[in-house]
Amino acid sequence: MSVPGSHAHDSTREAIALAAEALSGLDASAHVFLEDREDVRIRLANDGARECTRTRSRGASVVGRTTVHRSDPGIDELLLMAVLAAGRGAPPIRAPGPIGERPAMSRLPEGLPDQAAAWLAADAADHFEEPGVRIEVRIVRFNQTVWVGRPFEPALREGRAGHRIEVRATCRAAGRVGEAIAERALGPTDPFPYGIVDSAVRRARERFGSRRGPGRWSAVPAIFAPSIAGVVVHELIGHSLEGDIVARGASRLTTFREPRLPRELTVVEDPHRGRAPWTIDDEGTSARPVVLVEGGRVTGVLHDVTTARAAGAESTGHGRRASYLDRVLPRLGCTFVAGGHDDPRSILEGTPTGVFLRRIVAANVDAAAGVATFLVTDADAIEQGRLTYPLEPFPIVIDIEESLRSMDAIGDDLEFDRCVGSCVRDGQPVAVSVGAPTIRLGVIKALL
Amino acid sequence: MIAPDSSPWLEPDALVDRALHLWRAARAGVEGDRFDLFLKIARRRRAHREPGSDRTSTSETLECGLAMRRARRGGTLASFAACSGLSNEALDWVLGAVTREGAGVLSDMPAPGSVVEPLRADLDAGHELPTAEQLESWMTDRKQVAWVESGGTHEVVVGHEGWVALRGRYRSWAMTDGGKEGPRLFAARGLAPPDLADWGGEPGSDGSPGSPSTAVVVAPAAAAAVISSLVRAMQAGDIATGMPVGAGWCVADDPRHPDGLSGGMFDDAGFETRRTILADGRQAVGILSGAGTFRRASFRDPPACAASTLVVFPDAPIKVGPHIPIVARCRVLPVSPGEWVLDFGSGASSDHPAIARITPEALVERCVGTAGPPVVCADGVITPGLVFKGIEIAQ
Repeated sequence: MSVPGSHAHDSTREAIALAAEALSGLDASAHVFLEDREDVRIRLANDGARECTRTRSRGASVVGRTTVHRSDPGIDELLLMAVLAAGRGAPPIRAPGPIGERPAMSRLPEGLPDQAAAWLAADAADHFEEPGVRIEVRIVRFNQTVWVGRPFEPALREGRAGHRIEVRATCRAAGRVGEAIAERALGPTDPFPYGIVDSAVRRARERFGSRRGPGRWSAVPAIFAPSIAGVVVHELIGHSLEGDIVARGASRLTTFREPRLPRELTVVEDPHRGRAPWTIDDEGTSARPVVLVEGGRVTGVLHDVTTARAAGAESTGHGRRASYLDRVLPRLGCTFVAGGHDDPRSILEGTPTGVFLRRIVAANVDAAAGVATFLVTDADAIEQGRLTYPLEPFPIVIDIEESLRSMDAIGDDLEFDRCVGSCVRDGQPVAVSVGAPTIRLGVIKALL
Repeated sequence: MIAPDSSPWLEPDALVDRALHLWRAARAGVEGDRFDLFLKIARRRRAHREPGSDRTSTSETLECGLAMRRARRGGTLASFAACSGLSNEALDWVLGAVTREGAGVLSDMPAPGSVVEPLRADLDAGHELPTAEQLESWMTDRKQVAWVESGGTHEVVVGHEGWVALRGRYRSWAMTDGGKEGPRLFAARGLAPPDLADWGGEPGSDGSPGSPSTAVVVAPAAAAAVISSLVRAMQAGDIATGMPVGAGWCVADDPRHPDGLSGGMFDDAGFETRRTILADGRQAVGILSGAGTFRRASFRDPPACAASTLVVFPDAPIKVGPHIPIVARCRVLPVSPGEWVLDFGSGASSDHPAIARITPEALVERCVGTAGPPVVCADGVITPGLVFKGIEIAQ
């Protein structure tokens, strides 16, 4: 097996450059993509459950007149893929390394399940054997090395990584059940976060007294805890400004009459930030931050090479694929609402009644109509400017026309990734980040 | 010279030879522990439409990979790892990973005596993939199609004792943009593009349930998601065996169904498959468990007890009058293990989605019948429309 090292990198670099050369004269989307990725998934629980799977995914995608995807190509096969993708009699090419040599890779550290188990035992020490308390932890971590080559350009190499932890606490006492989830995105070298288990257990106990309303739709004011409104702008604004959605005429933000958005709202998509950042995209374009909304107007659209060409624009470096088996699409990386000037405590105190949303999950998004349904899995009621009691889960509907326009307070407490998820489009999951400060919408529809 | 779109292991016999070669190499590294190998190779061809234009482009895919389970002596669990490729390097990587760490997956493997044949083959008849031009031509007259794909997959399981089970499948898929109802996936056995004909005509005028006292028909493609969610709830114990169910909830898992998209003679751990009745229209009667029910979501996932081909029997047909709304979509959102939100999408007469809160137990009780003939849905569920009565939509 090849190991990371200068010889392996040099031969990979040379092979990609040669393969890309075979694509010369084709349109700007022609490129060679090679990835080597390791994923570790760990599940632990305080009842002794312990599951760990480790997978490695490596392969290439060569985009020419046609696109060729292949698992685990040797360097010689990569060159042949380029010949097929070019769709013509390509010039004779020589393999730069031994036939069958595999490109270099990066590795995740070993011993992660043991480290995670030790962390959990320490962080959950107070609750580990407590009757009626179940703690389940899921840890997902990946390391990915990506190579991209375009005709007559040096091959580019980038290392990407992601690390996510989710703690689910379920507490039972006297016939009552409370459940809470705490999540964190970690950097590749960050230690496990201490205190997260305790915060999940405490919140689960607070939710013993969760109440349910009459089961009718009502229009209510809503305050989103820091980071949580990032999910809303990811779904309603971010997806609506992905180049292929715009090209299909399926975006409420760019078709018909452009809706008015709050003047104070600034939404930024920055792939350099967040839990799984990238500096070059999967087509080899330098990624750059794009201001999507500013001053109440749409100011940017996210492009890959194909959608940029159709729109007469330049790629913004947002072309991503879930794996070498998938085609490139313009994708969101880290979408966030810029911080405002309001004091978060004042926002709450200035809200006579409403709901305070701590965790939401996107359920259904209609970009063409500019409407999305979310499931609120953790929230509190607001009465006279104070949080009063927890609410049972309920669905909400947020639309661009009414709900987003009713945004009347933006806090100065921008936070990222308190609500962590992957984004799936066309069956392609990609790790994404969201961020937002405390935000108040004057009206959302809630099924309380 | 290796052709760029081919592999020496695309032929079933060659794949079996490769699997046995890797099995012999692995056996030397597991120090007597029981283990199995799972190999996959797939070749697919796809045509898709560029966004916002009539231009089409094509792709060719050759995907292969292997996975290994290693059971620890004296334990009931195994370690698991998977890697792209069928090379010796790929085997070395998974062998290293299952040796160093990885734990907690099911270790059920057929006992030597339960495997009668040294080689079990479950192969679709051989076909040639349609050409890229044929796929593009098929799309030309179907403007609603976003992409169409045809492909073949061969999978091999090699057990600890060296027995081999070989499966070969040819399938085609197409995705439509779908307009108001959103994207829709179609699938078919064989390599000819799937039939895009819909079931039972257009959805009702409102497309959502009416009052609790009236019935609603959930069309097969929407019912398939509900059925899969209900069976998962049965597996999780949220619908206990013996609980009463409605006359329409008559469902089995039948991996050997002749129209099934997945499944076959053996499961993904190599056990012979069997039909399991889950509910008989009166009560829940069983769950999927043990030999014959192991399924891998992909070669990168370890086998787990899961449905293969869920079949709802049209044993309680109800004649659907024009006044009964037909629901073309239904999304199941689990709020908690004991409660779901059903999202039927936007009703024409309302400014919010048609949403119902209901427990899984109540939902199966309210499945009072079926409507129309069974349809093979893209997720592999075979079902007619399901008729529910008593679902209350929030106002």
